[in-house]
Amino acid sequence: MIACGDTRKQNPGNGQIQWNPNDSKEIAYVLPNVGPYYDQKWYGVRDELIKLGYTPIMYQAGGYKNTKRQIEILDNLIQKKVAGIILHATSADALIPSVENAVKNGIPIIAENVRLHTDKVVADVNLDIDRLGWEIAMFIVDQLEGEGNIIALIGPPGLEFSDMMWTAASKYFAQFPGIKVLKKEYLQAQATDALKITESLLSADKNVDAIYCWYVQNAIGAAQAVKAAGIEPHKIIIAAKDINPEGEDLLKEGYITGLLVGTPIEMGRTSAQTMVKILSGQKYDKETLLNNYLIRSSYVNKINRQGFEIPGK
Amino acid sequence: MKELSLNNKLLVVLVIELLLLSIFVGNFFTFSNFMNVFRQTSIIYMLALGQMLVLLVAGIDLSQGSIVGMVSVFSVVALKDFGVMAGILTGLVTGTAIGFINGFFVGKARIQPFITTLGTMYIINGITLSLTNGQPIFDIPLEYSKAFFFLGGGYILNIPIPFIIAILATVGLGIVLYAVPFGRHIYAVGDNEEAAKLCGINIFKIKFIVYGLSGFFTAIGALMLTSRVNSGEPLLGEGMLFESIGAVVVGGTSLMGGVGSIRGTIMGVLIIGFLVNGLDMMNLSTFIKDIIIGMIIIFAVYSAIQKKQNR
Repeated sequence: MIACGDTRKQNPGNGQIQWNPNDSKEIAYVLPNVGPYYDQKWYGVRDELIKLGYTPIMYQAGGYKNTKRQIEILDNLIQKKVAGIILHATSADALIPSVENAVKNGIPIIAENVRLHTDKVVADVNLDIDRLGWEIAMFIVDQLEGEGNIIALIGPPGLEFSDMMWTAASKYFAQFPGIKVLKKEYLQAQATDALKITESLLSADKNVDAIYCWYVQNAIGAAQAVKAAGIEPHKIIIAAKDINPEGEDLLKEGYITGLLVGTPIEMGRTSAQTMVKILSGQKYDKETLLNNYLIRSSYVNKINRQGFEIPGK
Repeated sequence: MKELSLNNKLLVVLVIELLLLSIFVGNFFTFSNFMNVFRQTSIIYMLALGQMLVLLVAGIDLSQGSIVGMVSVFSVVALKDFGVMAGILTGLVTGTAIGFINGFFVGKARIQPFITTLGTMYIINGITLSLTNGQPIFDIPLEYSKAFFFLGGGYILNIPIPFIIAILATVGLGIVLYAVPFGRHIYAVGDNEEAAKLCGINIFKIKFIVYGLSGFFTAIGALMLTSRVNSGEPLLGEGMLFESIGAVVVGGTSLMGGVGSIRGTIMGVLIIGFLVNGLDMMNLSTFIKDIIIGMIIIFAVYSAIQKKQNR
């Protein structure tokens, strides 16, 4: 938690703008995609907003590639005159004009998970991205005892989040001359993409000791490829951020070695609370950074699951 | 009673849609929302005009989405160093050139349009992603950024600039299609290529120009969208191909060639555009939207086939 914001001082450029001029009770949560991680965040946002007396509505763009769709959603939400928007953007740059237009129309925007390159965003709820990449790399190097061949599944092309993670990870790897990055690939956040790519890479080079994955869905695909190749558990180190039931199963089997577990439900709740504070004129934190926690198969059941496990699921 | 023409049927559908959305969706029937939809749909309308033209000659252009990405990147690269006009010209030339390449392979080498444009789709995508490493091009100098943004985000008398451009494009293409022989030749080639050839129509020239126009219109749409996002995005065109095909098919353009109109394309774009807008304002999920649009497309094609069989 870095800096406080005071709603009374928020001035998006036009001194006359007040937040939520239509007194709406609807707060929109705009996601890039669907999937377990997004479900967890949505649960947190929805549960918290309902408790605080607001109506949560969710939209998703169908993938990080679908920037145009997210722009359309923001444009239409401006017409719908929602009270506020919590935005997990598909792009840190392309959404800026739409974000600024929303703010101009009295709709505050919180940037969640992806930091936007504009000062018009009212608050940020984010992860310490550099640290994520660094810690995954640190884990892999530790498992390899400083020496080995790695392939990297970096994430979607053009996504700043995954690029920053990889920049930090590759800086860590560079400190160990015995660590070789054989190949790095961009790919979408789907297990199927990772499965196909890992199968090809493992065929091309049998001397892979570890696979760096930016996200658990890619780690699932990579682990499935390793399994399909008849390679034993724990033979290839696979590490990623976040967790879901399938990822947890593979972790317990030993095909995934380590996961940096986040608290997406907590992230959703924090965004919701911050938005309500903004709308009701209270002081709020302008930037909140959340942490991830490393788990391995030997202690996967010893972590507090409230931050990522949806009750009843 | 005389049966309504297809275009009039589409108009009835659009009017009913607008009425229902106005009744059930708060804040739908406002000047601001209509201008919002016109601005959004103007972009896909440009691609739809290009797609309509190639479908008229019994072709197809699968490379439109990739062209959008390449135009976005190339135009911003030029803009950053040489200014807004250079950026716009670079974008238009890029799109048109790719269109002409498609036209050459389809018209001269006589490779199936599906195959040709599928191939160029992959090639253009690969080139764009290789050159940019998947990264967006941003940091447009402020003096250019404001002027460029006007293209996609500006207004004249509260009318969005993209909508004004769409009107101008409609008038221009209308003259080409309906007032000069070239337009009649396009329909003739699509209706019966052999007969058109026997009548002395230069098939290669028609197809070459038509695909070039498709690239040109796609580039206009790409520039509008690039200006709105104020950055060169290599994957900007994702999903736009199927939106353009969907709008054109709903508007009554035949996939077999020779049948289609600008008015029908306008109706198709607006029917889908207002539907997406209304569903968003009703908070229905993107997947529900996809289901409904898919059903509309199938129904539109089915209606067209039924009408043809009843003649």
